[in-house]
Amino acid sequence: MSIPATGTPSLAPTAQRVGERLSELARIGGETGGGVTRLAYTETERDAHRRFCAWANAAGASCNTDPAGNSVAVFQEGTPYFLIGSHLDTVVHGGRYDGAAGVVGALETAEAIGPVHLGVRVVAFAAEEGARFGRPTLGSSLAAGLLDGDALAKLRDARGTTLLSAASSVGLDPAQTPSWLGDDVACYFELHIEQGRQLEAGSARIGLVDAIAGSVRLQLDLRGRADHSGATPMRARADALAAASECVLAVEDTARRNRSTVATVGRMHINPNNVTTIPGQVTLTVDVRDVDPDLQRRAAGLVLEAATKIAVRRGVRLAPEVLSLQPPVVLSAWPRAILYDECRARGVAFRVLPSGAGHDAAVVARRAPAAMLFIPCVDGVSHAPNEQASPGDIALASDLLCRAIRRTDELLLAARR
Amino acid sequence: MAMGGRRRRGTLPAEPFTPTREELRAELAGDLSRGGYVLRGGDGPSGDRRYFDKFLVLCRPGLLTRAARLLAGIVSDECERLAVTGVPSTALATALAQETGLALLLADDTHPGRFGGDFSAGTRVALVEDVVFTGGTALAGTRALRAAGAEPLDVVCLLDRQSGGAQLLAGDGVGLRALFTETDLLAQPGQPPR
Ligand SMILES: [Zn+2]
Repeated sequence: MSIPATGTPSLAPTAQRVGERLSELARIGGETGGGVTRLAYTETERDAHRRFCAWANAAGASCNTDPAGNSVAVFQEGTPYFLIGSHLDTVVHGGRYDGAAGVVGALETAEAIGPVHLGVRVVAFAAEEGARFGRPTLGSSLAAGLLDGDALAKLRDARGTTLLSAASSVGLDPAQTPSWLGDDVACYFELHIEQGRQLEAGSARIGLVDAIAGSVRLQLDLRGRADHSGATPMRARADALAAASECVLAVEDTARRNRSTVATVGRMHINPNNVTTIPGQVTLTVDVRDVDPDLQRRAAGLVLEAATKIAVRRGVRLAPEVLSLQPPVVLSAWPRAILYDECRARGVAFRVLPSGAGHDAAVVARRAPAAMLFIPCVDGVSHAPNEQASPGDIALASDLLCRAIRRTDELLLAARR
Repeated sequence: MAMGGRRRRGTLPAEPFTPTREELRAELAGDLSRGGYVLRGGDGPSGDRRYFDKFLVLCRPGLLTRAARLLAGIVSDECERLAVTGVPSTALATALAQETGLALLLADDTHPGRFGGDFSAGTRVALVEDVVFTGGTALAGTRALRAAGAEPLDVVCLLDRQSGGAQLLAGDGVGLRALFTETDLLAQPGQPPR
């Protein structure tokens, strides 16, 4: 088989179908203005899964949905098997590529791959976005047996609907999910939009992910005294907002000390939030991320230390709380090494980079080897209606996956002999 | 991690973020077993298709720090210096020196057989290696130290690939202290296929 120097011409039909399928998915939960809202455990998310299964069936694959709502299409029988996929849910007013690009790309790969020795399956994970229930990667975590029943039962959305009742209203029962994601998976491959600007800036068409950042989420509750803004001299104040502001700067300063750390204060509630009252109470959240668990913890520890000093100095009481803790994950080296080779062989410009956002691949990596491919997205915009990526890049990534899986198949077979 | 679902109010700030040794060890083992092995197309020198990618840990600051913190616990109390001969191992030795406070002896790149750094006859030394396979490189290192007048106690390494290294070194009166054996790492999930 001859390998074309650039993939674009031979990939044109695929790119066209990728574009059509993405448009079709974008109509499920589509909004005026181009946005898409397909929240976890809603009929809209289920509609997208039904569409996925219909496409798989049309290609001759059987498709089943587990009690967590993860849909798996079997393109080639056999164990162990290659698993390719991503997710179909979105955030509120999200875009049409986050997740969907990976599922549509995976279908292209599975349809084009031709016979291999191991099995081939495509997965559309449920509830990857933490948008609705505050906890991301629910579907993959349940399939990997990494989420216990107690934690599951506690999850609620902003309206107070529990995850379990939301799931049951769309015919699912996550608590009954068997942990099927494990030794049978020879390797998991996920294609995803980058959600950043590194590829675009370096004019690379493909990103190979080496590590996926985790996160530590903290809530800092600061209590001072809500006094009258006119009658209270400056030296007699215990201003919770002034203390909180110093904490925000300390968070920024802590993250700046280490190149691999990012930290954000994204939410703040001020009480009583009144023009003429010194803020008596402020609650803020801190999101700390790193690709190394130790550095991530160290940064979170430094934030807490700084906040404590600020609170003591200002006579404000601090009550910190750890909201969630997701450890970062280093991805397997060997599938990535195979992907390097395929990129080089095809003359595709690529970059190795870490992922600052979490993904299903980080969960799967705890149970099986996993690899992740990024494609550029315009201006790095994501989780927004104007999220944009090229169907041609998705087709290119699908083709690379095809070749990498065929090569892996041969290597695994040889290694087993 | 133990503190996953724990919610505490007003606890001593840094405390929830101080990992136990076992947590650090589990994390490092997980990262190394997931990311450390490379399945290669061609047959390697030993016909083995599975290689441990030592550069994964030697090139990443977080992994290097964790490795050094854990290795510090297995350097013997009698040891007075850390010695290093290979370039990649120097990254690990540097991190370990910073962690333990032990001074380094660096193989002199312009004068073969000599070591830079202070030592005298009989100074007890641990040789730092990244990965020990058959032990040939490590043995050459400990012999060079002995020839230079130092007393090599043992070889401290990140990974013992259990391919005769410990036996070879023992034959020369040198111990092998490894943070992980190949068996340890392959027992982790996300391992390369065997
Ligand atoms: Zn996504």
